[in-house]
Amino acid sequence: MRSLPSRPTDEHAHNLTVTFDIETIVEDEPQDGSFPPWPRHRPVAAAFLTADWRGEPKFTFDTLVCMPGDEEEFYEQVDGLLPEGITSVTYNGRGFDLRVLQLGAMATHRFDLSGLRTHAQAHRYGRTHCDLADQFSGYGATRTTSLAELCHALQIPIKTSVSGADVGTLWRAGRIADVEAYVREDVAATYILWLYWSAFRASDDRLIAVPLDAFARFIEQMPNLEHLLPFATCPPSLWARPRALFHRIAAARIAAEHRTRREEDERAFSASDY
Amino acid sequence: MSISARFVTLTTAVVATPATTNAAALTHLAGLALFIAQRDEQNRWTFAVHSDVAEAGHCEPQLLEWLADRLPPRATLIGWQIADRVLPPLLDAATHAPATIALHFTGRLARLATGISIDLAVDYGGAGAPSFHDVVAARGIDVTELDEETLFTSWAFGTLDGVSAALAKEAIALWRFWLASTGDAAAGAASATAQWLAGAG
Repeated sequence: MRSLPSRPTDEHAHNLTVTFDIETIVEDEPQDGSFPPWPRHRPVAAAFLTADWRGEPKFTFDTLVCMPGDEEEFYEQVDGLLPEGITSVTYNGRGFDLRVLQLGAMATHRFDLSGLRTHAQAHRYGRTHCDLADQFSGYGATRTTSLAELCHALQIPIKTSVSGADVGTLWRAGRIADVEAYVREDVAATYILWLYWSAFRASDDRLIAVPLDAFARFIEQMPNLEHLLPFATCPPSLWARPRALFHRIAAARIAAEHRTRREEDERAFSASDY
Repeated sequence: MSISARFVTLTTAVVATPATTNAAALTHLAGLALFIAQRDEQNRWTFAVHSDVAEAGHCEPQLLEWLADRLPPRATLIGWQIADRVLPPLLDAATHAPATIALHFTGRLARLATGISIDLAVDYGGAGAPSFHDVVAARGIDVTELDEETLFTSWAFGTLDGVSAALAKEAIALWRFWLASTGDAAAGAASATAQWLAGAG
């Protein structure tokens, strides 16, 4: 009997993730202030926050700028930040960021960017890519809302310096550093939102407390991320810090219990007649 | 006497030994101090400060046992860079301690960690904050800075009385710094602390 097709699992892995966002401009801004169709958008900056928890926890925060003429290099760098096995996380990436990046790579005739290809074509219900806009809307059960709305509800800092509508103005004024700072802020907010999602999905507050505490300390130790300090002292981080402490100590206690049990077993074995 | 509130400050002294051709770089737990403040139902405060040190060659597990026996079951834990400075050497020492000592110590520490913990460094940059000494000295709170070289020498040669005293001062300073940050709400505790210090001096 033929087996029925089953929906792929969307239980995204937690131990290696990259949260990213892009900022774009369009050549002719609509006069009515409406959001132009996505194919008209050209990336000018992107930020990628990689969280690697496979061994000693490690964060890296890469910010890319796409100047005119550097598009090929830009897409190559994007591809390099989407290595095999990583879970990518975005807010509305399926609907915008990945679409724009994919089209931009095609326009530069780069058909060898396997990392970008994997994530741009990731199954909606699969494990490779987590689009938080899709997840929080219940895969369309309710209307997709803005990242800012969700962040306000969870007291995550958002749009503290500028808004997306300002990016074109900043870019054309040559204020590249401000655009970079803004895209990093959005990624930081998206990452914390991912931690909320991930922890709630698994019914395990360790999945938010421990990485959020680590992220806060990472921000505090990086001079170039000073503008992200509000994320280290926002209510979610202040909640996470003592909770992470508890979990680290609890893990040490469990390790001590295992060692004690192992030594007891070894003593019992040595004392036996074998 | 029924305790209505209990606070514990905790600080550590760690010595780093550099890598050699035969051994990797290591850190050693050289000393610990804790300060316990308790308030009873009649709003009376009692205080105690404890410190202990271990010279080179003397095992860290003794320090862990010493601390485990003094950690109260439930209290608000106060420290400076707890996650980066206080906790790691304790957990590292537990990893290398005999299993029974590690179990006893982590059990006591876990019980304490179920309560509130306050990292005073968060408002000063958290993991990137300046040293506790630099922050509190500017506020006129008595604290002795333990520089790395002095600490290492004291640990290596077993002349640790000064280290013990400095750690005890730091544990008290953590408490006083936290009281100062809470303002008028802690006036009673601050006054009781000052009386205790005057009597202890």
